[in-house]
Amino acid sequence: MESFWRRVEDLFHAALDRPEGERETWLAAQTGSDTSVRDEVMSLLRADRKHNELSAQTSVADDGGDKPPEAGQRFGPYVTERLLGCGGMGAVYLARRADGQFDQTVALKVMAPHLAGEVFVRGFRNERQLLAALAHPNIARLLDGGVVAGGSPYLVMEYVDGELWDRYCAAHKLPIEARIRLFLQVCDAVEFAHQNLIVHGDLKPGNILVTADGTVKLLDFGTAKLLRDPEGKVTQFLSLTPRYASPEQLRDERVNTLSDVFSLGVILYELMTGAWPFGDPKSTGDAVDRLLHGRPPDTPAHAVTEVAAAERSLSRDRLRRQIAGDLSTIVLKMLEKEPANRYGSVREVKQDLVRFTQGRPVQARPHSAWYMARRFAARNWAAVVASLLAIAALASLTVFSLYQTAQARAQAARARRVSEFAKDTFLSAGSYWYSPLRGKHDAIQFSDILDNACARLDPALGKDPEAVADLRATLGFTYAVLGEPAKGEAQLLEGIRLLPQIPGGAPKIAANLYADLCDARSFQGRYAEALSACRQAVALDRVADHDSLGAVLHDTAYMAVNAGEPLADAEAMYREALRYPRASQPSFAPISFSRLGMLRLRQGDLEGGEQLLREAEPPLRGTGEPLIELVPVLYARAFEEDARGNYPLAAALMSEALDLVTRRRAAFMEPDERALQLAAYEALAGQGKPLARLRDVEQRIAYTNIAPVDQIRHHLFAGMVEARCGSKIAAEAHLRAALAVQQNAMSRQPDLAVEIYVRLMELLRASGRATEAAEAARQGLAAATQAYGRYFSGHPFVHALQNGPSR
Amino acid sequence: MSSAPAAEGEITRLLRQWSEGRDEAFRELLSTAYNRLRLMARACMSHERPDHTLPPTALVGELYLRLAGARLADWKDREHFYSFCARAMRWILTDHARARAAGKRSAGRVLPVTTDIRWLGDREEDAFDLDRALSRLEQIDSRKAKVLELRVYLGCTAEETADILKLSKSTVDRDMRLACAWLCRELRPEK
Repeated sequence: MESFWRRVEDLFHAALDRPEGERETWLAAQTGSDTSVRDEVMSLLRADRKHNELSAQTSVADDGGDKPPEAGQRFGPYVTERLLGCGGMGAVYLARRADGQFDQTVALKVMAPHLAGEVFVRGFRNERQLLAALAHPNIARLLDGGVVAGGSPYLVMEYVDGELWDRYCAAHKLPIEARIRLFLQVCDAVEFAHQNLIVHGDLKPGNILVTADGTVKLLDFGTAKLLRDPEGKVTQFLSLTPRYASPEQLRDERVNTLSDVFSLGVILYELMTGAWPFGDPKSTGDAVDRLLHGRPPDTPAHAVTEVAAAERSLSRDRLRRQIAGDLSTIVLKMLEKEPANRYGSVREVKQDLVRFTQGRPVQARPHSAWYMARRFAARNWAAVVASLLAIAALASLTVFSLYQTAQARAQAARARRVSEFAKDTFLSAGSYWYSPLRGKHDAIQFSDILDNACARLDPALGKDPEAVADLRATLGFTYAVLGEPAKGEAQLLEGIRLLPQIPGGAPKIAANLYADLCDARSFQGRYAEALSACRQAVALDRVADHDSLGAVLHDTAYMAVNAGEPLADAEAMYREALRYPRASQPSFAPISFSRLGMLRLRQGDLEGGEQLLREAEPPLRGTGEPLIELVPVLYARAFEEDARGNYPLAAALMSEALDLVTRRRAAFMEPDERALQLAAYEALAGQGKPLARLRDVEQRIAYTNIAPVDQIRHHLFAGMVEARCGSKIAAEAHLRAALAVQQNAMSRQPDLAVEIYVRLMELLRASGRATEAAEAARQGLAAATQAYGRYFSGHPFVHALQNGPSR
Repeated sequence: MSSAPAAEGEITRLLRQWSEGRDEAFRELLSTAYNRLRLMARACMSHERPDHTLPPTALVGELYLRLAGARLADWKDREHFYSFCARAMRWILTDHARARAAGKRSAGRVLPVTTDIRWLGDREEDAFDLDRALSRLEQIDSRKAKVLELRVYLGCTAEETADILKLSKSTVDRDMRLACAWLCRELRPEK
């Protein structure tokens, strides 16, 4: 085989060096009686010719690496004169009618058929019909079209002698008002198309020309599509320019008129600021941020550069002032991630822009704190009240500079009390951990107020470290609960830095700082660091404040579990927490029982765990709407049923948990995480649509750059779904990734590995890889020995691992 | 944030083991890089205009930097890493095409990431056929399969391919010419 192939290869290349007509004879002479080599080479030479032909047919349009054919080609009655431009979709030529009927200069666009087969050509014909009917002074008119013999479709369009829109604006150093006037013409054209049920789908500066007399012409309704398409499918692949594409387009969903509103928003943003709303358009990282994490647009005024200002005949500061306010509000509303939050039509955009140019108030609502509060209110009144209290507390901080230090201290104490009150009333009422206030997104606008407070803090109080430290604690806590834990952490560390300067050390303030630091870090998924802060708080509270010791111990135990500490240590802390005064609060005991129950389950004690969970459940369920802390109970019980092999029951419990979380929108109880777990149990139970659920969730969750404990859970559940319903390769990759994380970061919690090995063994067995399955079972049993101790022999996972490989 | 995806030394070790023929190491690598690779594949698939697209080579470069860091700068590892990424992209894109075909969604084009072979991807079944054809070519001539894989799935140019595989550009060109003819014969057989 080896030598046969070598010989074929050599002869193939040698034959290629000869003129085409001589190859066959030459080859026959070389190979003599060896017809198998000759046939193979001949067949490859034919294939080589075919490859070249197929490539040549489609070489009209290209990425610029190869040149499209010279001008002078004939397309129907038209002859191309010169190349105007080319992109991935095709090449555009200046052409002239050659049959003498009219003397007409046109733009001729040749589509690259390599971009698609039949579907594309059908779409192309569709487009032709659509565009022929689209007569508007700001839209380049379609005149004719056809398909040449080689299969390349072409379009004949009105030739527009103009400049690209962005170059025109830059070259004429157009000020903002003039740019908006041009932009309004673009809006006119798009609105007209929308009225004719045509969505552009690929709006961008490269598709907009400006003629010498200042008329805007829109080109290339490349992805135009009838809104009334009965299937509602999008011929998305026709083209897409991610820089201007809406989030729904990037997600491959249906394009509609609101997608055009978004693209117009990006164009308007760039026209105002000279910058892309999502960072650096050339940076892969920024593009990925937008694609994966839904990064919001930068504030327009911040995006302005010196160069951009000069291009608009303004100083940077003046340009900033000009676009801050209403103009920013308009563009940000166009750029809303959710189509429903954008303007409802291009007409509304136009109306607001006209209002702006006339100096009248615009209709778009800015995202003020009050606007945010209103949106909050629609979802959860308690969050609003707590936010307002926190803000009231902080508003009082901003007047400190007017007072003497003594008064400031009194104020600080009051602010702290108000803030504590907010915390106790709205965060501790049975929902300490999962308050909606801990959301990461909505509250961000409030941070402006906090930033202001921080900026004014030091000068007034510099001489009183105790007051400053106390205020830092309040600020840090407020930042953290309002969704900016990193800023909160910085404030808290500042406060901690001041502690040595305070006579007597102020142990209560110190304990607060450390307890809040623990929160701020845990909100960022940094459990190990949160744990060390918590331990400081425990040490301080043992001296200063037995009242809050129970709560702090409870938190410490929680952090220890998530940080990968031995489960028995965490259990001891929960048990100790139950001995302190907070334990008398009605929900404290059941919450602690549910945590303890889960820890018992994880240590293999299914009976003991179940007992605790049964005690915890009724008070948390209550008589009406259950407390959100019921979720951990449900999830622990699902975990137990999973271990026992009762998958439909596990799925039902998770489904209840997901329902509760979704209804309550509780932060840190991400519905996506519950949905992922539900999908895993559905897959095992053989019910529902687990793969669709997984794919949906995967658009939002991450597998990396999150806390190890979450990485393990995400990989495990995804692996369970993939194993039963999706790709076995992906399943194995997920499970092995989960194992790797467990071994690296969570090795002191061997129970995490047991279920992974069970699932891995099942997967390998199902793939017919018996030896590897047996090895997984062996390692799983080793982990179970460590994890379950005296509960080893009765555990269902152990049974599965012992009997599994041979089954 | 809290945790690096994997220790840098770990990746070097896995790359080495994979290049020494331990398939297990490939799977472990894949699990480390899977999420990012899928995103890359997505970024490459969803659009067509090279001037506005994130080119896969750039993405791989980015991934390489992020996963591997500066410690992985020597030639050997780099070659393995690019080969690994090409292989991973191949799996992901083929899987994706399969899922789309199964779901009867209007497909769009899954292939090619490259513009080297312009006819490739005209037919919906090209995505699977290419995968199968590559597997057959690997049996006959693994170097040509590797060249094809890098060029098709990562969109590497001839120069980049030569660079990565430490071949001369003329060798890559010759390999590519034969590989293209071979592929054309497999995917577009004479009637």
